Amino acid sequence: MRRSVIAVASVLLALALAMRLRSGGPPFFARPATIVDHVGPGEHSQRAALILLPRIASLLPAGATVTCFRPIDGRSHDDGESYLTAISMLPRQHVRPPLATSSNDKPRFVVAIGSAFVDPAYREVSAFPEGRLYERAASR
Amino acid sequence: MTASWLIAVLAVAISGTAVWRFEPLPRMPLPSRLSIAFVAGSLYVTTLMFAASAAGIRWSPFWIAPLVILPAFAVRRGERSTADRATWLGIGAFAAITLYGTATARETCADLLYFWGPKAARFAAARGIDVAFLADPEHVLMHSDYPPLVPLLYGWGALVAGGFGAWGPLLLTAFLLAAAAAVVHGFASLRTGAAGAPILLAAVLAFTFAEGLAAGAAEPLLILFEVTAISALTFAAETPGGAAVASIALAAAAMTKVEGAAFVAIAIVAWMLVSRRLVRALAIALPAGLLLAAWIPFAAAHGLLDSYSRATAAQAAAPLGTVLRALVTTASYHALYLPWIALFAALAASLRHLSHAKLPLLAAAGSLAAILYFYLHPYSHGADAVTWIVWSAERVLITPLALLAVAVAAAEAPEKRDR
Repeated sequence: MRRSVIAVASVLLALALAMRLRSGGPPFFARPATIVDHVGPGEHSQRAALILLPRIASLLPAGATVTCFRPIDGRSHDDGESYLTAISMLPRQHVRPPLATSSNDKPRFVVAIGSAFVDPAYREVSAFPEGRLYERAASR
Repeated sequence: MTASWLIAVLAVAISGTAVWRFEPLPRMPLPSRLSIAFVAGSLYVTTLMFAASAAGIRWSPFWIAPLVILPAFAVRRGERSTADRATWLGIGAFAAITLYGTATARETCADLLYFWGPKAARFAAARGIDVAFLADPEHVLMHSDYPPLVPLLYGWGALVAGGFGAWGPLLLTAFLLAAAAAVVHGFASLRTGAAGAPILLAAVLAFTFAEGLAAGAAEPLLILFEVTAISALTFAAETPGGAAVASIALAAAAMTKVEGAAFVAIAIVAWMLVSRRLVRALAIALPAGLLLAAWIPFAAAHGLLDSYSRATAAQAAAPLGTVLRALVTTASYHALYLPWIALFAALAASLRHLSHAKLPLLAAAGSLAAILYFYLHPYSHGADAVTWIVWSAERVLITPLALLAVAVAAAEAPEKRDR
């Protein structure tokens, strides 16, 4: 009896597991581009950052100050997720919170995910499908 | 990078083989002994790294690696144990499915991206616990005083691999699942047949890791440590090896998450109630206490106190009804409470020997009570209770589920007694 219960329970859990993994969507046997490609319905909020930041990392000097966010109406905001993702992906740089762009001590670089960042203190230096890199205009 | 990271992290088990010399470990199957060695090695290597940082010694693979290998000279070879092919195939099947799920990015925990990964990367780059990084007010979201075992272990892998990549911790999840089930099987096989319970544990963990998006976070490691501790106390507490492994696993749990310290208290109190051995219980808990007594002052000395200081602050409790409703809803795992039903059904089919499962059942009840308490008094951040439950409860509730699976293993008819 006990072994039958355990066997049935294990099979049901296996089926539930299969359904859960299937809900992450196709493709099912292709190497994902990022670690968040199939964690849920719809695109994960950090997928674009995870693709963009490794490309941008090679353009940034070691120790440079940089921030990262997804602009809203062209402006920075308290985008904690993008900020934390940048800390993870840019270990050689000094990553600052997004709202530092409004301070007197602005970061040298801005990584804008998705849409453009509009600020006269910064100019665009590189563009990618997932976002853009800006540098403080007085930095050069 | 991922392969070398994984090899480095798994290789900590080399140092943990020193515990194999203690009875009854030589009588356990090799996969179980390797899993226990990984638990012991994780604590040993991360404690070394913590001590080095506290002493101002920079990490380097060139001096850490020899210290990883050195304890292996004390190893004692195991005896041949009866092969239990069906159990290993069952555990292996669920581990393989989990490997698929993590390798195809279907189980990733965001905390790997936001906390554990950044800490590991920064620590490895700084060749030590980067207190300047943790203490920076701009990094307040990093939970600066959180127990360091996970970033230290991940950082060790990054040190050897030359950098940190998130795929390593994701792929490690399948090993941790298999290891937890192997540990239960190893201890349970000393007393009972218990062939099905480890497979059920693997099934529960595989489903809840996926549904709760736990891959890469601290929970898979914490579950391994908790299951190891309770299994050792349930099946072999009166043996030198059982007490040593329980002690090591409890210390590892305490240094993995803040909840780990609560688990140590629950496990020790539960064991005292079952065994009536106060002095031995306190001795088993001593390493956990000593390590926390070293970590918290280290954090305080470097201006890192955050979670631990909030734990002592007076807080208004969240409404009980609201918290209970949110917890009960989350506990369904979007599967009609299948993990709970599966485990309680297995226990119901084991009523005749349920008395053997007193310790894991008490520990499971205690952990549920602790979970409820923590959600009623949010201690680590300003999120309201319901938000915090939505973010974390599916992972946090894996602890009582895993302990119930250990109870299923314990409630098997005894076939032979360990000596």
